[in-house]
Amino acid sequence: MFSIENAYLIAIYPLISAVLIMLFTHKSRVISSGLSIAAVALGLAHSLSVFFSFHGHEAIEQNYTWIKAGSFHLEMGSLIDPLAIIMLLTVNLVSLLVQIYTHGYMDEDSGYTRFYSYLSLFTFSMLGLVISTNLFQMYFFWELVGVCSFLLIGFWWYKPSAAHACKKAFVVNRVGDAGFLLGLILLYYFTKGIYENTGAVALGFTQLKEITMQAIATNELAVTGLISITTIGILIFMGAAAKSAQFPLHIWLPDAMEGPTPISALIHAATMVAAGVYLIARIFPILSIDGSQALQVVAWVGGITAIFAATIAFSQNDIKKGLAYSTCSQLGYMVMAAGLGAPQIAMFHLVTHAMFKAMLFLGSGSVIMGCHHEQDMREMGGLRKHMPITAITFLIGTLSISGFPFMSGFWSKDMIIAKAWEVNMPLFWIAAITAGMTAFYMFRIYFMTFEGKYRGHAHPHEQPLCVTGPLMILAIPSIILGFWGSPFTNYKLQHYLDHHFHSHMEQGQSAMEFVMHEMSLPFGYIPFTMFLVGTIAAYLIYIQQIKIGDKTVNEWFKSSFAIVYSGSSNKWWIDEIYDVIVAGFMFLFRFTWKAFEVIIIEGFIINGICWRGTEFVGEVLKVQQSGKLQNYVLVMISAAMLMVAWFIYN
Amino acid sequence: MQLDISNFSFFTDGLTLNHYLTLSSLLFSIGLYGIITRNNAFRVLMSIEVMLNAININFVAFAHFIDPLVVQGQAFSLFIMAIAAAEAAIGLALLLLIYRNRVNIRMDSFNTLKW
Repeated sequence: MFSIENAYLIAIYPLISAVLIMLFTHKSRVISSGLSIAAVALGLAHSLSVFFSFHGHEAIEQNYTWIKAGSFHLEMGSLIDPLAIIMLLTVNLVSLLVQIYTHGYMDEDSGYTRFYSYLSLFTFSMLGLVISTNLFQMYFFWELVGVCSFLLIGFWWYKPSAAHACKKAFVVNRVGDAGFLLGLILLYYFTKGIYENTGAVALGFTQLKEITMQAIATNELAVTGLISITTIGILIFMGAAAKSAQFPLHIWLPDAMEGPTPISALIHAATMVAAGVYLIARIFPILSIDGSQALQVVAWVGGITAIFAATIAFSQNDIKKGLAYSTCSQLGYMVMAAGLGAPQIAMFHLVTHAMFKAMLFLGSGSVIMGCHHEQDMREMGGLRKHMPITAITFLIGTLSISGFPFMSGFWSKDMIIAKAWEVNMPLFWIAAITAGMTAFYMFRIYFMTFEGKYRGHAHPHEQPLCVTGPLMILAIPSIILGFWGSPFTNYKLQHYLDHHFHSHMEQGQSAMEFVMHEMSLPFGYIPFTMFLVGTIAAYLIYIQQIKIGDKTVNEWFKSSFAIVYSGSSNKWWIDEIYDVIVAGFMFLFRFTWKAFEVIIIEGFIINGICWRGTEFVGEVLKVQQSGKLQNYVLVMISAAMLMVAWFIYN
Repeated sequence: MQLDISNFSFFTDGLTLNHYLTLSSLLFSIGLYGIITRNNAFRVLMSIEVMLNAININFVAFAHFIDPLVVQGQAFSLFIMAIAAAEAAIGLALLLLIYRNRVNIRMDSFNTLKW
């Protein structure tokens, strides 16, 4: 039990290494990277010991007073339950592998030790977020991961594009965080009496539902309406949507690819962007309160993001941008799963996605290094011969994310699609079509990068072991992790996360029979068919280069569906739409500024009262400063006389 | 030999404290008037002396009429005279310096304190 009761240490190790690197060891590359990797390795070991010593399903919570003023109190602490344990393992594992990989990727960079200190700081923030006991603590760490993301996207701050990207990420997240903060303040406002009277952890996750239900039972809080548990849920979801790059707050994620590739893998694929899904899973009890409409919103936002991002991924030529939109789309799946009422499946997909997407990003980093910092896929091709390990692991990741049977992504994604079949038919079709599109654009990336002839001008070469090692390690969970949540282990992961999880399996049915049975049902074979269609289409277009008339399919598509193609390659002009909206607001603000600031404040108050008024009074009063001593004496004596007179006659 | 103040009855017969105070305030007012209206710095200085003497008369008169057996006010007025002498010396020195700078000692030419 030592490891569970001191679980907060898991977050403290990387904090210590971050502080040590920043203050003392930043001159030494070996000590800095060693410290950082050792801290996260220790964290991983601690997480494993927590995992193995945790039995049952009851959350184990440690709280320490953070702020106390009268009856108002906020706590910080560590909450260990299956949800947190899964995240602790995922974050620590990916962080460890990414930090090893970083040694290879950032070796020639002058900011090597700074990068490690940021990585440690990020790991601390993310782990602090994971073990949060209440929404306030989570918000605190939520902002910290935002700051780390800002620092790391802008790591190469001297590039204007990186500087813009980090600003954009920060501002867009600010929009979502404003909703998050508003939501949790509203929630606290309606339940504060209960928290202050009982001394329960303010907005603590373990009692969130009971206490919110009490507030609803006493009619302090409505279920639907303008200010209700529905809108509170949607407001908090806004924070999750911005962090998890959900439409229409997804615009920062592709730009965030300006950061170094290990960051794209760690923050913008595996962990931080998944924090939104984790938040949804955490507040799921209040989202799913009877009568609340919030889950509908969550599900639809997720579904729209999934298919929307997939359409953009079709036409991206930058390998990292393509993967970024793929991340966006997969996050849409997770959010949709949570919205459909299955946060366990969302968490399942989160974990498998963290593995294969981290691997894909690290693989893309390896490709970029191999091609001497070329990111354009049109300048690649045929790399399989030059970089076999990277190619094989990338292919594994591609198969996994596309839903090749029995790989990790297959189980988690098909479970989401099956859930949609049960709950919401339109979303089922969206999810199924997206599955086909996923297969298409992922194989497009794979074929353009690794197959065919090399089209670039560099001399590609395989990377050293510290780069390929993490790829090979991540390939293992990308293949087999899915079994943990599959019928073959009787949905062990889902049961672990939630012991109320219901299995479709009938008594006495074997897992293989069950899978075959499922595959004969529409929610089984439709996604699989979609996978085949997408893969074969990608093969025909990018390997066989079949022609329609005398043009290749790509050229034919570009000329026949010009509007669709330019929409996709221009990201459906979302950035431009934002520009127009922001310009509209700027016009409004400029009008208000002119009317209020320039005329009233500056014209009337500052230049009027403050300037002219003071000047006028000064002109009048300066006459008495004649410089003549006798005048001063006169004034002095007169005043003394008046005082005497006043004393006499009063 | 003890000084018998009652021997000076020729000067003090029929005079009350009010007479002295009236004299003193008249002198003070004359001095004040001089300070405010005269343009010559010498005259201002002299007016200040007049005001100081008005104060001296006050001191001596109060001492005489309130507690004639103890010599307190008289001692004070001696101090004031000494200080007045010192002040006059400094004042004259200042005037001398001002004259060297300005060639005259008219009060209205000392206007460097103006806005």
